[in-house]
Amino acid sequence: MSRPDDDAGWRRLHPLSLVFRIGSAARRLLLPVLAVLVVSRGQGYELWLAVMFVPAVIAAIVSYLSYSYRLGADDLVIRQGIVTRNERHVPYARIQNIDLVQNLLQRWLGVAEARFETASGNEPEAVLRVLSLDEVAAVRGRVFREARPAGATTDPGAPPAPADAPEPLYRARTSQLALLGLTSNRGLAVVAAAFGALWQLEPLGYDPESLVREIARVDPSRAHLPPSPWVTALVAVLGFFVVVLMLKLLSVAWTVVRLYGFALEARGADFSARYGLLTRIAATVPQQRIQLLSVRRGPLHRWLGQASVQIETAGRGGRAGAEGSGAEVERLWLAPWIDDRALPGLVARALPGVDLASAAWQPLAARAGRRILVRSLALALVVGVVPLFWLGPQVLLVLVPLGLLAVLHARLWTRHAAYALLADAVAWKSGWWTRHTSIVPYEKVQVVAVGQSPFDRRHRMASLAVDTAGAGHVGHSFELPYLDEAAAAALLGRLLEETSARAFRW
Amino acid sequence: MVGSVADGVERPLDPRSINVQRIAGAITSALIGGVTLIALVVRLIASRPTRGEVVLLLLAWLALVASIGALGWLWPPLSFRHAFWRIDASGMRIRRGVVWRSIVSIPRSRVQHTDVRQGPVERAFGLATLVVHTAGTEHASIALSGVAHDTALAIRDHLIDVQT
Repeated sequence: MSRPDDDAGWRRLHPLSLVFRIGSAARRLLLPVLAVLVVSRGQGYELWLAVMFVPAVIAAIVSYLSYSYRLGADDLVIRQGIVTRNERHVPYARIQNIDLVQNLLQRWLGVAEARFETASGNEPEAVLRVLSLDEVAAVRGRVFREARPAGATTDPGAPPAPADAPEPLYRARTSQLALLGLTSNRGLAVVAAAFGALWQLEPLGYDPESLVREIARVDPSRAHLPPSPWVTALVAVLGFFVVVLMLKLLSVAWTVVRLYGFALEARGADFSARYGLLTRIAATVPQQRIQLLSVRRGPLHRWLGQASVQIETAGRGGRAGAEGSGAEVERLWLAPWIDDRALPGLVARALPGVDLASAAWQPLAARAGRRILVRSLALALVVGVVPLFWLGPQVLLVLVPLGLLAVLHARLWTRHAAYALLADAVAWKSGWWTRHTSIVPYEKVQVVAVGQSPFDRRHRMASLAVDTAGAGHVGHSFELPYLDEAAAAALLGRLLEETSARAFRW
Repeated sequence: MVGSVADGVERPLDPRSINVQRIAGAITSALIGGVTLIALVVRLIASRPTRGEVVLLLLAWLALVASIGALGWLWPPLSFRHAFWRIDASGMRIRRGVVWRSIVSIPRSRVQHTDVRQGPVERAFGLATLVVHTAGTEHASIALSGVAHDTALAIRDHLIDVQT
């Protein structure tokens, strides 16, 4: 549905955009509105609200009317603004992916927000908010027909790539998403804040001690005595479990809502992921943009024979700035919960030529275990000693299991940490409770940094870090600690050799 | 000049950078000293202390400024002794650090763009800071301060050269 306007081909956004712009303005005004309502105490607030809203609505209408776009011969042109006019040209050839974001209302109304991303940059270059689904399909078709994807053959005789035939690769069931929620800690901030607030506000007039007494139902005749440390400890442990339960429930809810109906498809060489219960997102993940792939296996994963696969891409596709709705397109998940047997196939699709099974894993330095043990024991000591002042000398008993845990941790961590130089990528795995394996193709390696702390120097060790674009989003940093000095130098040399031999393409 | 820079030989920084850093250190200690002195004087005026207290506080201030000044004077030659850079056909390597030693290696093909910056003090001494930008995250921009201006330009020309 195109609305013929002034110049040939210039179109306005869907009329419903106005609704969403006003909605955004209202959201931005939410706090001031609340302030006004509180301060005015029910009198004369209508005037204030009018004063705040009318200019916002007028501004939204004006910005809608002044915003127009055009599908040019070889670029997308966007014009906006009245006082300050801006005309942006985004060449089709540069557009790497188009993401669609639809919140609940937009889904009901059949419109969507289209975000266009080029090679570099963290923010989408253009955001069309909103277009009808037909228009979106038209724009997409035009852009991808004109664009020459990076690395595609320019031989006119070659058959066209089967870009129109999406191949379903993976689909997540809601039960699997719930399991994923169990293994993560989303909502930790919320629970911590709630806990803190509860503690501070002392609900029901109880202070912590009397709360403990109340829960433990101590005999009221002894109510004037402080509760025994055992009782306090028990209540603390129970409280801890309650908190963990709340955390996990929140995490499950969050994950299910966020990733509901996760479906991964392959379109030609690229991937397309759709997910979301309330806000529905359709994100394209060009295979070329995958910088790092990380596989996570916690104890639950291992028990059920599953794995979670995440990726890091160049240009995270974060918030779309003032134009967009603020929903973040997470180009993070490749497969939230996938069977171990299907994993190698997926990895091979995402990183062609990478085969983890053939990796020759190299361990860390021989004395790494000892250093980790010293650190763990020190930590155990600190953790064990702090409650000493609170709860009395019985706490020393706790130091024994903590110490054993420290020894166990040191041994297991050292045993499971290893790196490998594959034919086309470098891999690093670490962790024994939650096992992470991350893979970076050589052509995505940016800078390699080797560091030595004074302790490292004394033990003739070093740490090596591989820097990539868009790093830091999966929970596993590509930093190899406690490497043998010579091994670190050799690894550095090999990495530089392989990296220099390959060009970096966004 | 370009060829002579990219020969894979490890070079230290320019010795004049020691003075540049000392000047920067002096400015910083002067600033800190000034601010703390003002705060101190305001507090003294407000609270009407005894002579002993005044002397004590002024001594403490002097000790603070002296230690910061000493650090600013003694640290630059130390860090100078531990800083080296090297450019060859495959890329750039910067080795520095006194307590925490690090080697940062940048392959030539990973250099996105470069800046050559000169602060006023650097300009006076004929030095510059070379900033190399990559597509990385932790090392999105890597700065090499304390090289001669001409050297920085030569390095930049060499790094850009590979793009063509």
